[in-house]
Amino acid sequence: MTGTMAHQATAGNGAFVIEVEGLQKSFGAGDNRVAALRGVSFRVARGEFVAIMGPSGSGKSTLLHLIGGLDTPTAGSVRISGQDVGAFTDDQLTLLRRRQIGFVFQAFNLLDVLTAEENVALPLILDGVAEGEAQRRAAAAVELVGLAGRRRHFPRELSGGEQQRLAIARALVTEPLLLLADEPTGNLDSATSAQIMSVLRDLVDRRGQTILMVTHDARHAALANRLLRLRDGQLAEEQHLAPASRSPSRVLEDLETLP
Amino acid sequence: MIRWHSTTLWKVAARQMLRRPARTALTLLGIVCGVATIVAVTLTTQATRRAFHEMFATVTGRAALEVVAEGLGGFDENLAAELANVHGVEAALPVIQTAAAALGKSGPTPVLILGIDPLRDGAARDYRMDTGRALQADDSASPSGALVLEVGFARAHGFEVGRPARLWTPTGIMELPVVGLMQPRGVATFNGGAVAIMPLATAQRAFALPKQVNSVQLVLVDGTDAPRVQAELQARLSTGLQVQAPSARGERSRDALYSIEQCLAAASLLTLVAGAFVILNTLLMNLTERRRQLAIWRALGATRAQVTGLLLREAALFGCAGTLLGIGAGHGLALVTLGVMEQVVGGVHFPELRWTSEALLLAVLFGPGMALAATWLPARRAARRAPLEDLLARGGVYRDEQRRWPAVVGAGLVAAQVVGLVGLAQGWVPPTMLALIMPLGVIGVVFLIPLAIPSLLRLVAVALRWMLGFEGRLAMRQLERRPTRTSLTVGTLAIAIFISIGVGNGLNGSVRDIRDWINRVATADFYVRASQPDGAYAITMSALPEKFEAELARLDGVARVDKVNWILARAHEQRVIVLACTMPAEGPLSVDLVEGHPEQVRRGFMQGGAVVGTALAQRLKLRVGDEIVLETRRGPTPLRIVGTANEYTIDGMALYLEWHAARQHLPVEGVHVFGVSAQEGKTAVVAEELARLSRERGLLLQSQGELRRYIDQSVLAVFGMVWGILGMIFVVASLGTVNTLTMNVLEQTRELGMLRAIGLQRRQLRKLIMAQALAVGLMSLVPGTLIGLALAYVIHVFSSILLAHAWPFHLDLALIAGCLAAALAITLLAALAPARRAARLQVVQALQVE
Repeated sequence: MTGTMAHQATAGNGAFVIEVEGLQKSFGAGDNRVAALRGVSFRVARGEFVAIMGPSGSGKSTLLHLIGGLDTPTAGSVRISGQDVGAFTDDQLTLLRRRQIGFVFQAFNLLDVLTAEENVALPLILDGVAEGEAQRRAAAAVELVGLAGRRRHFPRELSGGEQQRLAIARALVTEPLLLLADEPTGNLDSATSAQIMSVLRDLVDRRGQTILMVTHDARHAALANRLLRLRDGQLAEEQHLAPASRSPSRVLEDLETLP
Repeated sequence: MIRWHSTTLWKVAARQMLRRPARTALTLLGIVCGVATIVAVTLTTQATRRAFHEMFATVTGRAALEVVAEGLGGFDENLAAELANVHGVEAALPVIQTAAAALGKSGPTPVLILGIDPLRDGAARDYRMDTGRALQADDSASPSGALVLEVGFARAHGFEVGRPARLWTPTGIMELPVVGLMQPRGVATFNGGAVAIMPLATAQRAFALPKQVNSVQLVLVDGTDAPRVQAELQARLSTGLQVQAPSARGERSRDALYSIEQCLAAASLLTLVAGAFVILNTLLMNLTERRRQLAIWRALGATRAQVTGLLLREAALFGCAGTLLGIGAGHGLALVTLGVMEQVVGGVHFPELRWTSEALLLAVLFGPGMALAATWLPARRAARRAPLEDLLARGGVYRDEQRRWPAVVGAGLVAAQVVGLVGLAQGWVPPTMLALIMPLGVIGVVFLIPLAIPSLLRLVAVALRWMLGFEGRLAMRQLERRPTRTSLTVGTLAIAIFISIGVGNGLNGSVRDIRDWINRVATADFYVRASQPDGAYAITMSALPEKFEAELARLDGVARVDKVNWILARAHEQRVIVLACTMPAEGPLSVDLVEGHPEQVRRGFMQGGAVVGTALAQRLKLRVGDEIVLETRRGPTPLRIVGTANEYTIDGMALYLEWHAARQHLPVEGVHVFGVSAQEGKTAVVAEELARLSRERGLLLQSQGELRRYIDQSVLAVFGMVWGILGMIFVVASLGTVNTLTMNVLEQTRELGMLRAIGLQRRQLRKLIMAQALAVGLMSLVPGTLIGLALAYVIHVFSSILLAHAWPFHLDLALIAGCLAAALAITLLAALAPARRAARLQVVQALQVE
């Protein structure tokens, strides 16, 4: 198996949201240099739900951070909607994160000095949207994730699942091109995790949201359209998951057959 | 682009402050202390200057200019008629304006006398009567005269219409019928109503100024250019007369209060600096605590500028809240300070405090300004952090990054202060810059302290391990992890210590020197006067008749009677006080001689030479043997300098002239104070005689001891004010220490939970926190003491240069020990709440904290 495998995925209109080409990322210097990614290439089409799996240290989160503009590659390129983000300034990356990318973190990362609705409105406020308009759109996003009755509560007053749904609402409020989820169910129990995954799947099916999700859980990966498996910083396997094959046990079978 | 009026972002800032109410409150207090002292000092300084300025402007009413003679003596009354014909002059009013002592039910009280022409005076002043009548033309011709008083003053001192009032004047006690009482408006508001109006002719008799006046007050035609008229008149007037704005009389007060004002201004700026460091420390703690939160902002799409703006909003809120509270506290503090100033100046009633745009501007500048200035750079640095690092951090304690630039800036500031002080001493830099130069070095030292922290930590670690064992060792770890925070806390405490030692030692040295000076110049056993002079010698210098000397000399047991007058004069365009006095033919001189042999000085003095205050001599660059040119009625008059003397009157801007010699050059009208020396063994007899005489005649009698105590009280009152402000610095430093220790406990929550889990007892935990406090206190002692001693020496040298006389440098060990003990005590007190908080940690919860 070669370290890089390119996959030509097509969407209804032929546009790729993400194009990763020969992506490399190293940390440290000299004898302490560690290669987290060693040349990864793939593309994600609009409306795709892509799951990324792999053992600890395989470079999953690093890949997500590079795509999300939170970090810069050592070599290779990342294109978001045709723009090479590797050449972006800090402000350009910031605007990218604000307008085109929605983040969902494992630790929720909500601001506890803001209410639920205020948390969701925050990206709009940062973008200079008028308070009234921001509030209206935030309310709609909160309702979308089923938290309309909790919008005046502070994060500490919400359960883990509610907080993560809130984080998803915040990620969606700017109607981003791309949603990046880094182990969104990592801190949740199984029932709540199922709820969250259901929300994410729903976003893809009903709104055509493009999602890139890192996960350790095969059951959750099974809900995606495509699975990318990383090992030692390289793309080891790429797999289309047809609807019929979207079962965790099938995913595990497939994984066990890999060399 | 971010909208600055975004309510969400202001809500974030406000809620962030409320998350840590104790820390917010302590930080606010730091700002409040700084703003309050600045506001209090500004309001007090403005009030005292305004008091003198407005007082004299009030007296002259609509008169825009006045003509006076050198030494404010008398001149031909016909000048008024001549000046009335000058173009632009609507009225020229002959006036006698001087001081006297009114003998009321509570004894002699200083009062301003206005001798006026009732027919013409209405051009300048309005008299609204409460009771009785105003002065009339007939009163001028009446041999019994007439007197009009202010109603409040009259009632307070037992004067009534229809009953005579007695006044001490240079010609003796004058009894005048009170014909009217004025409402407290216009001229009647002078010095709280201490003003008496009499006909000009009466005043001429009372003050031995026949056919003379000592002021011609000019009312100008509307729209006339006053400076032009002033210049024109000055060119026409003969030598020895000058044209001035009436308020110029109040300028004298600035000389008397100048050094006090500078002292207060410097002390308040230092308090502000300490407050700024508390804000900086709190901000850095907040930023450390919120790294993850700020990283979330950045991940969501907040630009660096937006994160910086968020933090500046918080600073602005801190600053505004602190300013509002500081304004209230400052007003209260100003009331106290003004009361002290009234006592210091003596005999002057200060008006109510009035808020000016300058005071408000300073409050706004220093409150939010200070908070924003302390926040700006750390906020920018926090905003520039890569968000990923902080997002991925899994709790634990961040290690401070050490930077080099603070030490460079610190060295630069200290160097700037040294240059500034040298410039002040050499006269290149005006004295008004002293208050601004002092804080530079203070800030610089705090920036340099981080260089010393590693060595201090090692030193203190040894001491703590020896004293407190395991807890001491643990305590040091947190301090080592946070060198920046430790430096700022140590630095703020060190500021309090070295300022207290340096300035305190200087103040104590000054008090000792002033006491020595009084011991040398106050040689008489008793002092008899009509009233106590005000500190500026500008308002309440009432005189007794010179012939009283003979009566005093005839008293049983009296060996000698001396006389002293304080005369406002000018020399080399410098405002000076001339002390016209008599001196014994033998025995110790009643001056604190610095240069000149005593007997040669006595001889030269008796021959009309001058003994000049060392500060004045230095200012004019004159020495013994040179000539000082005194402005007199006859024009500039050179006088040979026969000696120089240590002199505290008006900060040493004074010279002594023999009584009769002074009379040749300046108006010496009456006697301001008689000094009575008793024969050996007859002090008690003389005391009894003088007490009887004073009761009968309504005189003010002070023994030598009472005079010294009076001066001591005034000096100590000023220094008490300065100490009060220095005490605020200790308060601010303690606030910073509480903040630091509380934050240390918060950061170590998990670690402390672990220690408790494995068996550390609550009392041991409390001991650990107290050990941190002790470590901070001990670390601050070293730089605080060393710099304090150096500062004490610098202040000593500087004071010697300014006052142009040296006194032995003396280290006040009790003061030093007291300051160090206070610093340690404050530090340990500051640790009580954090220690209690640490001891109350719930182990399980603490272990779960990230």
